[in-house]
Amino acid sequence: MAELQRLLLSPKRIIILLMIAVVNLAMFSGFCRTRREEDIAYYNSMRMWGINTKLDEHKKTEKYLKEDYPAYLEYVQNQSQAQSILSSLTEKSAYINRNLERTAKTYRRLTGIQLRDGENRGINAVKDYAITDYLLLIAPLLLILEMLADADTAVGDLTRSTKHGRVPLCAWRILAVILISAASVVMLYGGNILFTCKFYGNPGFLRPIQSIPEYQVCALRVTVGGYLFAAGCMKTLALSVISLIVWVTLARFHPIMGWTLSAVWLGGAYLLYRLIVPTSGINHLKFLNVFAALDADIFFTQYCNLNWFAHPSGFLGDMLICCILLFLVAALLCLWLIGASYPKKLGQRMETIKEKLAKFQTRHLPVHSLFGCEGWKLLIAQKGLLLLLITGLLGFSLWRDIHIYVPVNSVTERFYSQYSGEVTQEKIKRAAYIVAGEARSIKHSQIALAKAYLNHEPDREISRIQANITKTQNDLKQYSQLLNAMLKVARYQRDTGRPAWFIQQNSYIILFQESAAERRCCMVLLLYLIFAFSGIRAYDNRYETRMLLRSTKRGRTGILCAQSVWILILTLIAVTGLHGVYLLHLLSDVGFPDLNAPAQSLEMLRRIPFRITLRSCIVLHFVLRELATLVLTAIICIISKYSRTPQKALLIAMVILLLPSALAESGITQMNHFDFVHFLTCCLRK
Amino acid sequence: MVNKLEIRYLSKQYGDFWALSDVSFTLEPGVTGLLGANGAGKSTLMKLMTDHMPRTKGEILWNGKDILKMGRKWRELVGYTPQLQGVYDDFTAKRFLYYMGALKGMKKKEIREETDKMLEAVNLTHAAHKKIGTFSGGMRQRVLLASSMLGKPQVLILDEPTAGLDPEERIRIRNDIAELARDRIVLLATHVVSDIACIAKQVLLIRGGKVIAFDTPQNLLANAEGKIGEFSGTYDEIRALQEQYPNGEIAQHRDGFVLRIADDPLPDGCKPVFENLTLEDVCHLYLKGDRQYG
Repeated sequence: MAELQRLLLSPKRIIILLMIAVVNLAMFSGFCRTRREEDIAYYNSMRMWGINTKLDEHKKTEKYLKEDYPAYLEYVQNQSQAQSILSSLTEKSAYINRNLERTAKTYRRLTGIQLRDGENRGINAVKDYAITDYLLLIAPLLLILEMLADADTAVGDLTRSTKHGRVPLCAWRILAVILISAASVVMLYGGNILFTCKFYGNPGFLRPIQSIPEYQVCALRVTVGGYLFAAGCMKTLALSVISLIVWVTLARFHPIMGWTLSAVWLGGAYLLYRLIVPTSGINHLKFLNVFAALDADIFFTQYCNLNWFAHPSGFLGDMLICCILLFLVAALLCLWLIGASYPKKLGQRMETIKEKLAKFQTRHLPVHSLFGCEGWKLLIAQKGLLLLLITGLLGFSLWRDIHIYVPVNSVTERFYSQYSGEVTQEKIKRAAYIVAGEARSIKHSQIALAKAYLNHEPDREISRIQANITKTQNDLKQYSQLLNAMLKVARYQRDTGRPAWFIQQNSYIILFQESAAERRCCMVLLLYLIFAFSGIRAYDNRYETRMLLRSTKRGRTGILCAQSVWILILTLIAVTGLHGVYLLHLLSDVGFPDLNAPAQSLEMLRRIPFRITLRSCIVLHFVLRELATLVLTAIICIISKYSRTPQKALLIAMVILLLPSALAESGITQMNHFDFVHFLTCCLRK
Repeated sequence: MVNKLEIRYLSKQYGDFWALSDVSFTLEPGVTGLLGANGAGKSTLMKLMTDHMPRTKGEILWNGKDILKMGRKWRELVGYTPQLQGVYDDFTAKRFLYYMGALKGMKKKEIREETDKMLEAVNLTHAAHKKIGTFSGGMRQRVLLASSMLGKPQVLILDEPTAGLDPEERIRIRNDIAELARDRIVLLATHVVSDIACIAKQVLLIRGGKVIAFDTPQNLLANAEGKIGEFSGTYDEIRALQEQYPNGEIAQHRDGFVLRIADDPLPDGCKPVFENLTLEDVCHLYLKGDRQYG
């Protein structure tokens, strides 16, 4: 029990868990906000074409609840019956018949199920956000690494020499792994669910899960709440299995061998899970897989029976049996190999190979300048290069998933192509003439419609005229809006004497106005800065080398200069990489028209008191972003300087810089003043 | 011209506490042993000499120039081995020495040549490729010693460089230091008085932030004559006497037990010793009453 308390209730453990939860919440809330903004942008752009997507979706859901789902259940039963008739006539495989029978039998349990409409977006967001599943792994794996480090020191010998220091201690530690897995699931997965309840509203925990169209094929009679609970339990089980197997592998093998084996089996299992299609003949390897259990949603959004020697068996039950068996085997192996047996590491030959490699490397070790040495410290010893790579991948995947919808149609395109640029009286007159023409056209069409009614013209003709009127009305509305915008620019020019153009503002609004997508990207940037630079000075403090370094010729300003240059280079790469991808994304999707227009052409930038073009504004924006990033980096470096270890610096930086942003992201507006993510975006708030 | 490092009225105050008070002495090439109890001000003195902290008053002059004004030029002349074993666990021994070479502003060719030489000098060539994190305390100490000797510094400031070394390694390092000290100034603080006795040209004794003796070992030993004495008796008698003289050192001789004490004048009944006096006795005499000297 004392061991359990030591491992789980230590402030360090609690802080680590809280920090992972904060990072997860910040990322997840960004994901939800991005989705909502994309939905709104999509809705607006569709509305320009006269399509009301909200109404369509509502109708679609209604249809699904009332017609599609009962039809689906009926289809499953019918197919089984048809197959049984067919099988008497043709020679079909026994497995297919049994599979259809079993499927029909399984779905028969759902007959009479009462589906109810509700808020589906939250549950879908929780289901679709896969990063939480990977973040879940951090806390149990850190616990295992800590236990392994203990075992390699004198503490390990000390504990093994005591009465309960072997098998009982190992049993408590297994329990600790299970509990930390459960705690991770509750904090991260539970956090996501709570956030969606606040963000989207109550998802209706008591309605059947099939009420959500994405879960149509789920064959279990389970409510939304029941599904979330079951998924949480499955995730805990999967986490425990993964952690225990990694533990026993690392405890019994030489570190290189142990990590290689762990990477092979974890990577292999993950690839099998990702690459095998559900209908494959070897789908056992996909579904009877810890990563399938970690995902959990797959068992509720898909239906499959596994083929066991021509006998179908439900994939969920099989997976549970498989995972429980794996867990028992892993726990027994831990008790035997870590608890009961003498500590012995296999694969000691790796040590010789490692030594030979190190000798070779040292023999050819190049002598670096101080700049090179500091680079090695930052990039290799403190894993800066790895972090940069991860950030790059994260940033790239973030932008790849982001969709930009711009409310533009042929009317606006045409109008802008004719009238964008400097606003002149001539242009205003021509635009007003078009508006008047559209209004006249409506009047004529209305007269034509009245005549058509009176002359008893065919319905087709009447519908055509009606459609024409609706279209022209829609066009008139848009022309009027555009004309008003043009007049506004003209008024601004007249009142202030500053030049302004009438231009298409969409891409600029996306760039200069803070969006959830931009915030997500800057959150990744902030995380990178914290992880990459927390150790820059604390690394020296940890090894107590500052006095030694300061006693040398270049140990003061020399080190500072070298580190500053590296900070500059790395932040420049990160900022340019993350924001540059977005800019390219915007350029390819929307483009930036009229780059030479004055910045005051944009309504949001009218307060700028000096003359500047939009092109310069974009450059300035990027320079500002770089400066903001450097300011935050400086704060992190100061924290690092006064922290005893990089870990402490990391935690302090997270609490000071990330926590307020995460809370602001979660909807606590009081934290907006300390929102460093907003500071990094250098964008105007909406 | 012989290099000279002068310390003049050097003082350091922390709040109300004077860690060093008007310390003055002059160092010339050769080993100077620095002895004093924990908290006597040895480390403060070394930190001031390496310009790691600001002094409250006084001067440190290198050939007449204040080291504060010399800045980088002074640090170029200094090799320092700190007491805290400040080395990066993630670095291999060779990489660490390369890094220190770069910090000392040495040329790449020099760094490569001297690193190999120093690794050999401290008997670490076989472990050059190993991470310092896997080293024993003694090995780490040797890495630090090698790093302080890189770049042929004119002044070596060594804070307990032989701590954690086995006797054989200690003798080897001690001899290396003696060799290095032939043409440079070496200030050596150590817990092992015998190291100083073997190689020190001068000994500096510090107590309560003040210099209480600065002389050659021979003169110090001569001054101690008549102030070191022994009580002899049975074990119980000696134990009873030690309660009276808690700083006395019990030793076992062929004909019984003795309690060796250092005092001026010696107490009644204590037989003065004139032969086989050691620096250890000198320390007893000057530093008695301090928590732990050396």
